[in-house]
Amino acid sequence: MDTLDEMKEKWARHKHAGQPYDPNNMLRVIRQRVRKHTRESMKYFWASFALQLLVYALYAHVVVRFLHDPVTVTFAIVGVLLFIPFTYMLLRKFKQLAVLRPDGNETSSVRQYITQQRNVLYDFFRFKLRYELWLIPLSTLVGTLLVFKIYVPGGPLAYLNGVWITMGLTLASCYLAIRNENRKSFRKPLAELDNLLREFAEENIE
Amino acid sequence: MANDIDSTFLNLINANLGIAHKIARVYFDDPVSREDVVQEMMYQLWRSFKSFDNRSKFSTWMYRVCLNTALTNFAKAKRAQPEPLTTYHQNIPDVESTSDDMNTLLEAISTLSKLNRALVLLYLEGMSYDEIASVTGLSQGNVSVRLFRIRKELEAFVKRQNQ
Repeated sequence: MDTLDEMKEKWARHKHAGQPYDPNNMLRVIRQRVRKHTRESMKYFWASFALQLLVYALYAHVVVRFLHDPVTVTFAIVGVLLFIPFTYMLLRKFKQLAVLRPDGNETSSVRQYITQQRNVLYDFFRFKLRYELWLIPLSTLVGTLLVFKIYVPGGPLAYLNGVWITMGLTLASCYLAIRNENRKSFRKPLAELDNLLREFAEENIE
Repeated sequence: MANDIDSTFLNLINANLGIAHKIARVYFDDPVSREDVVQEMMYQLWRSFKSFDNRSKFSTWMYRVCLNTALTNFAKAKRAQPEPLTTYHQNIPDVESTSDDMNTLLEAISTLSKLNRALVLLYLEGMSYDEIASVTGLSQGNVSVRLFRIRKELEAFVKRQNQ
């Protein structure tokens, strides 16, 4: 077997197929995949949803408990307002990502699909990065100020160094968690898709 | 519940099942990842089937969907969790039974880049340059030049193996 034409003949003669599917087999495969995809999507959804619930519950509690204190109530409302658009956009963009199909459209090519997949993933990642860039520091600041205002006698102004240290530690732990999540769920897949698209773009190979 | 599966879909899939296994064989080394991606292909084909309206051959459409799935599934496949053996796993084709020539060819193809693997696969399937260009989204000229280079690479690899 020396030439590609000979390889082509061998390829045509070789039997590659597994056992054919009967309706029950196919249904089992489809059910397994539906469960798998739902599990993966829901994992992200529930993690995000649980965080939002905790945040809203905490701020709602603060508002009710300190209704007489306008400063505390303002901080709590700012905290809620910070998270509402994030929750809405996060879920909307996540849905976009979750329902993306490998395109049965007969006119679209592999290159178009990979471009589409890359763009949707990049769009979601960019939104997440931008939002986190100001959501995390602001919500950390609001949370820290509230904790000091409610639980520390004298409030945040009496312990400014403590406020900065608490904020620094909270931001550092958030940064580490977000960095790992971004690397695993976004940066690596995006790098792989970009490599593929770069290969497609080498038109001047002619 | 088995009635949920369209019999036309099932017949077309079974008639072209080799496509999914060939693509899986070219992109994934270990049998578990291969089986995982074949199942994912079946699921994606089932999801997309309603958009297939016979404007192109079913096999061409199936190549498109399966390649899309394989090319974007690599990251997920590495994270695949082991699952208990079922009777379904008995249907996984036995790789070891592949002939030496075919193993050499598959080994040669595995040295190519991901895109070039797709091109050679479509070429080996007997598609014209025009069809390959339409499936991949490359220009016909680009397909021709790439295949010329791939041919040289594969032939050199096979020659080295035969020496």
